[in-house]
Amino acid sequence: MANFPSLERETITGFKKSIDSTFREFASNWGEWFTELLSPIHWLLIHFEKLLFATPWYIFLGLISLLLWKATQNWKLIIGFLISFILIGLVGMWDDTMRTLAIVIVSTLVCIVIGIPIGILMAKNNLAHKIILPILDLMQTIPSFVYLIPVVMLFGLGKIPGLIAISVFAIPPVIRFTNIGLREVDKDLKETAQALGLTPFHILRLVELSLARNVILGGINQTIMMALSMVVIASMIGVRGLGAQVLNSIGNGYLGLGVISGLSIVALAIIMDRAIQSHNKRHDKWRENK
Amino acid sequence: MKYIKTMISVMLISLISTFAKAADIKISELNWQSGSLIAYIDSYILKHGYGHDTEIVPGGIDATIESMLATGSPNIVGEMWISSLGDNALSALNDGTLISVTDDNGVIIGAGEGWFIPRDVAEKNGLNTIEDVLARPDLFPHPEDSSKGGIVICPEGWSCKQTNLNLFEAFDMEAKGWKVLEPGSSTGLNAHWEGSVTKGKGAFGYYWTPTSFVGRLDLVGPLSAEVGFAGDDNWTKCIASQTDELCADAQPSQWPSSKTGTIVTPGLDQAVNDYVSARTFEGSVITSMLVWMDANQATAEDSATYFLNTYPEIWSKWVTPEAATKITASLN
Repeated sequence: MANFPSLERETITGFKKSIDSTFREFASNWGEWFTELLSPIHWLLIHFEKLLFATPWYIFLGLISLLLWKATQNWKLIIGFLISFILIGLVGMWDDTMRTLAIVIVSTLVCIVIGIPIGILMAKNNLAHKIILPILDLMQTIPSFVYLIPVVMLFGLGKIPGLIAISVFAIPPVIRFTNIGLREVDKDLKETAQALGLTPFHILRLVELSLARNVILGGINQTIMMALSMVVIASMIGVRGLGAQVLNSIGNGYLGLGVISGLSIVALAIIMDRAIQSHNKRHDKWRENK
Repeated sequence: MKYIKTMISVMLISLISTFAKAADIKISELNWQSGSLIAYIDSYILKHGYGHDTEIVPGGIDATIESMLATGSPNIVGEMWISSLGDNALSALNDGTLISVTDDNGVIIGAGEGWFIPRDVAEKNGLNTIEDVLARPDLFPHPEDSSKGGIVICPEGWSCKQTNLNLFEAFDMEAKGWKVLEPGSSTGLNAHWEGSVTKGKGAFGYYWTPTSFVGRLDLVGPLSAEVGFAGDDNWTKCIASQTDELCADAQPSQWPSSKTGTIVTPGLDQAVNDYVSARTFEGSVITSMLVWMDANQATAEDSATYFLNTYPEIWSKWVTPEAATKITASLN
């Protein structure tokens, strides 16, 4: 009496099996095509990682410090960055950190390139807004293990499926924040720009996007954090780096390795987060003083 | 490091068993299909045939053994692969802290791990041995670098990962145009084989039998090597030694046929010991069970019931006549 009247077991099994076989057929027909399609990103990933590996550590530290100084002029952040990266190097996590950095940065770029136009579309078109919002909810809540299997079946093991797994989870914030940022721009300002004779494209570029800039950067920040949090999941499909070390430590019960690799991920996250925040603050101050 | 390793393992496994309600026999459910199926068969038979209160404790090989050594629980591990046991587990088996109750044929007769390739690729190109495969990296392109051949190895945290890496060195595979392909997890490993075979692409590397997977995807292996087996000494002390470093002295070798055994803690009833030592499967029976599990996407628990219903002639030989009657009665 208490049992819910479910379908016949055979019906349910048949349904699940038909999903399996449909997908297998899809993978065998389209797998190569998708792999070809994403080969430019694959090329970018491999060569960006090679570049990071080829850069001597002192040049890497110097360049990033310079970049951080340009962006934030916050010397405390730079000292924090130097100390944590030197520690990472000392405990032998340098190579894995570079691998992780490469995939997180490329994934974030992919998210930005795809996410910001989608966010603009959502802000401009209410129908698109209604359709995309639940899709974003789905992407953020569906357990990643569910799409790991089909992604590997399509693309094989390694960086590309890892990048897709990371991006599916990490792209929603940049879309959401772009949408919100653009919707919050003062209507009067837009009308003034219109009265001045600006084209819609110019209004978008000069008025809306520049006013929504901080909100969008906040979204990008969230995207980076979520990408970093996905590196352990991505390592489950063969992405090497800090995530693989965490997985290794879980599998073997190596507490020390787990702590070291986990803290390296945390260090990456904190530095990137503080860099963007501090850049935002500096930008705000600069605008106020003007 | 060893101490920390033990500590964590005990936390992982015995925490689960301590906080759950006390059962008199705890059975380890190993985290692969046949390991999990055997655990549920044991549980059902001991519960309904012998009246024990059983409990299933999930865990991997290393963590389970460490927990058995440290706390004496779980009591029964159905399908332990003896070749993957570490030194401390082997010495525990020697001094009687743990007991292997299975005879030399193993729990699953004909079980083995090693390197596999899809049957159609093997037949089309006449690849019969590891050496044949190693000469043709072009048939098994690595996804990251298609000029190299890719060999898929064990997931992170599996003790066979280092074995694969040692053999990679021993066969001098890098010079032959090969590159390691890390699957990351069992999910990655399965999806890699499934995807490669579905797309009709070559795939080469680690898997084990009996599995429904090998049957369904039609893989051949474990492949033998023309150089044969490097010998117990080199295998256990070097190629498959449980360290994090590569073993410089590793010799090229085929994988040894794996011995599977049921390992128990001392102090179980004689009747329970008699049952677990008699409980062995023909490889083909397990394979057909696993194919059924896969085809029906059945849980290990449902599959154990299916096994007991379908193969009474097999399990009735393992148990006393009284137990057999009780089990048959409980199934109806």
